Amino acid sequence: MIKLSNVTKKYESGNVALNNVDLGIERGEFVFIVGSSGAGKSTLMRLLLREETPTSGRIIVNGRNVGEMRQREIPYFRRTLGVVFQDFRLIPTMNVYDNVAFALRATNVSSKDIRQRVPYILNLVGLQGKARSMPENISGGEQQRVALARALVNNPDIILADEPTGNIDPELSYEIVELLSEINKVGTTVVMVTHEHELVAQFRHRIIRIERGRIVADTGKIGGQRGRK
Amino acid sequence: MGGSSIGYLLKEGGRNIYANKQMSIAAIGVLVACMLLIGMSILFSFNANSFVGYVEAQNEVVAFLDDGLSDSGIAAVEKQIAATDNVSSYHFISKEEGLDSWVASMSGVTEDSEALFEPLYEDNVIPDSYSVTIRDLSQLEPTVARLESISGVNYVRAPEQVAKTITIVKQVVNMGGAAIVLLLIGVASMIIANTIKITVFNRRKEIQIMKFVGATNMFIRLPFIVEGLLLGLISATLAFLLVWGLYSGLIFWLNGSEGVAWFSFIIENLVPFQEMAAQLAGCFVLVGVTIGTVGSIIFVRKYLKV
Ligand SMILES: Nc1ncnc2c1ncn2[C@@H]1O[C@H](COP(=O)(O)OP(=O)(O)OP(=O)(O)O)[C@@H](O)[C@H]1O
Ligand SMILES: [Mg+2]
Repeated sequence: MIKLSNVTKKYESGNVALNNVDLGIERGEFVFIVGSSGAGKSTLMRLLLREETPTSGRIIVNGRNVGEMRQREIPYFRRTLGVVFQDFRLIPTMNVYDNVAFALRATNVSSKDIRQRVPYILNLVGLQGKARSMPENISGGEQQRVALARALVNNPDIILADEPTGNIDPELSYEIVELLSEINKVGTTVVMVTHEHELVAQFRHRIIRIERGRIVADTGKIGGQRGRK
Repeated sequence: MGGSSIGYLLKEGGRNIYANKQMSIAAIGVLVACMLLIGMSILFSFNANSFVGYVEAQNEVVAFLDDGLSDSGIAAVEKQIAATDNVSSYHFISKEEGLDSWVASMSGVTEDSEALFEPLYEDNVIPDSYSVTIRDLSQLEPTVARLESISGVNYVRAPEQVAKTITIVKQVVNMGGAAIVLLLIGVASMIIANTIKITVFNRRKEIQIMKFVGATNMFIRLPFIVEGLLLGLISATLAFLLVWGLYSGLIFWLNGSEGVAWFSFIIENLVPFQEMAAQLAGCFVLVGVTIGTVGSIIFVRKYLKV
């Protein structure tokens, strides 16, 4: 599903954010990416999203060579991914429903499908009662669930989440990861960056540690979910 | 794209304009001012052309025929005049008619004109002639040369100086008008571009989200292009109404004003607004649509590196 071979990313400033990384993630895996600040975790995510291109090496995501992708192919490639950020990135002027529907409207989904799909996904993330609320009037955990709903609504093959729990309470963080685990069980590949060791320890998922641009530890594929300690 | 997408685009374009009220109002203000100037130069050239056309129509070329030409000779000349390029109409003026009109033009010069001119009728020296009207005065000289070359035509009297002046006036009015219009279109495009730039900046977060959910570049850009289009159309409508009001006001004021009676001739010949309305509206819509879309297409591309 995801394969990096000899990937190096050197920013124009000269920073080498990733140094000769080899990595394989299979379909249906749930992977935590951990590592200290500045290790290169977000850079890895940006490469997978084709927000950045590798300086050298090859990146295959969902069967596509990300480095050689043409500009006009990028939108269609991204429709196969669901992205979640630390800062939620909701549109403050739109209510919960429209924030989710937005992802479908932006990809030319018919309004009939939108009317079916959005309530279904809001229900899945437990926000059925908040459809008409504005982002500023709901909690951080709820906002992140809206963002998650938006990432899910296009039925992505892979969820890429960069510190999705970074801005929310530990209790709610657990719920988010649990939700991601549920989604993962149905077959969606999940790659999640996090700083929170306790959180990682609560789940039995593969853990990859990155330090100074290199993979320094990898638990390898782990089956099943450990659940709350 | 289906009907709902067009609805979406109009809504988004409108939302951009509304979310950006101050900038939009400023942009519309400047656009209306530009279009007002464009409209004024259009109305001016309309009137100048109509005035010139009036003067043109007053100026006729007269081809005097050789004395004592037979009826068949006259018929042959007429045939050749008819076949001459750039002649829009002609009519025959006999010796007698020629003299009549000359005498008529002299009447009032002296008290007792009839008696004075009586002898002239006994020995009429005015030849038969053709009065010819010319289609394009700028081509007067070659046309006169061609008329003169017709056998049976003695000489041709043409208002050459007037023709030259009119041709120059026409060129200045039309080229000056075109230059002003082009300049203003440039200014207006920059205004639109600047507005779009600010909207793009204000909505950069949304744009970024659109990119991550896989919206195509076209989908991201279109609302901004629609915004430019709407700004252009709104400004065109306002400018049209304003020009209409100003022009009607001007005519009303000129008609009621005693002091300017000396150019009552011009006032009488002002082109009524209704006769120019369609062209003016067409021009405004064209300008509005063009700068609205072209301005935003170019600059959305520039500011929206997707
Ligand atoms: N756009 C950029 N231009 C130049 N250097 C960058 C850029 N983005 C990141 N870097 C550098 O690359 C290195 C890796 O950054 P990255 O954001 O991937 O780290 P991270 O592991 O996500 O850190 P954090 O946990 O703080 O988010 C850092 O040294 C950072 O300063
Ligand atoms: Mg980071």
